[in-house]
Amino acid sequence: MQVQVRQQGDAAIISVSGEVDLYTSPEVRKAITQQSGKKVPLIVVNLAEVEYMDSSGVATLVEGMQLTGKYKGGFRLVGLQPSVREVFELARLDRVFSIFDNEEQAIQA
Amino acid sequence: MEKYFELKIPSDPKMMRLVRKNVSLACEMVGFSEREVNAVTLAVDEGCTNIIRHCYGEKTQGVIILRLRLYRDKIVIVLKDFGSEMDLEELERCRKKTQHAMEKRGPVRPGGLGVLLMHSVMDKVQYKTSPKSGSVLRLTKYLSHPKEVEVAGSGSSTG
Repeated sequence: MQVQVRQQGDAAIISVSGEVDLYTSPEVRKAITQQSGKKVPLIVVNLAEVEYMDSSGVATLVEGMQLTGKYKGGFRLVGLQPSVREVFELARLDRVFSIFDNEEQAIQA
Repeated sequence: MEKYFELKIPSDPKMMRLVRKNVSLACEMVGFSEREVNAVTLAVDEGCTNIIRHCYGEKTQGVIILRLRLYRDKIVIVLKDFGSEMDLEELERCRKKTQHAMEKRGPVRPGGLGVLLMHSVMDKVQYKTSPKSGSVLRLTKYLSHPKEVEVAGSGSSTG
């Protein structure tokens, strides 16, 4: 799994690729907490290259949403593959997160 | 017809990928759809994650035995550990709390979410636990559309 962070205006784009599970989710958590620690106004997590995610990954994103919510920042997800979206739907979290097709939409929303 | 195999792995999160690969191949052999393969794989991953977290306290030297039984119409996966006794009442409380939190859009606990996902995707989720011999988690998933099988002398039949 790989995590890359880049700035785009006021937004931090966190791009994740590979499989997010108990072993790899701490890496994603680290990237999110670093950005939320800086109170970045908008965090966009791009999951287009994520083929698999379990509850550890989902819980990491829930935590990210809660952390940014504390300082009224935005937290948006982008590009969920069908298998990943299904996990969100099973957990009924697809209605809780702001999910977009691409980064541009997520930044402009 | 039944096929059986087992894996003995350390309670190390690094092993999850190997577990998922084997479970997904076994599910394909039974004939599950891609969606069902993903669902069963997720459930087994969540079961292993719970064992690593709760029975072995995230210590990587524990042992998990993964047994897979492949039938014509279902797959049965048994996860056996030798760690501390699983608190089944606490697991159930977590599951209900998570379900309630999700309905109210409140904070979700990782452990509770995993148990909830397991119950959502599997047909049967059964636990047995004891302070002396660890826990056994048995997960069963039936094929929604069992394959047609050749029956000698009588054409084909389903079921």
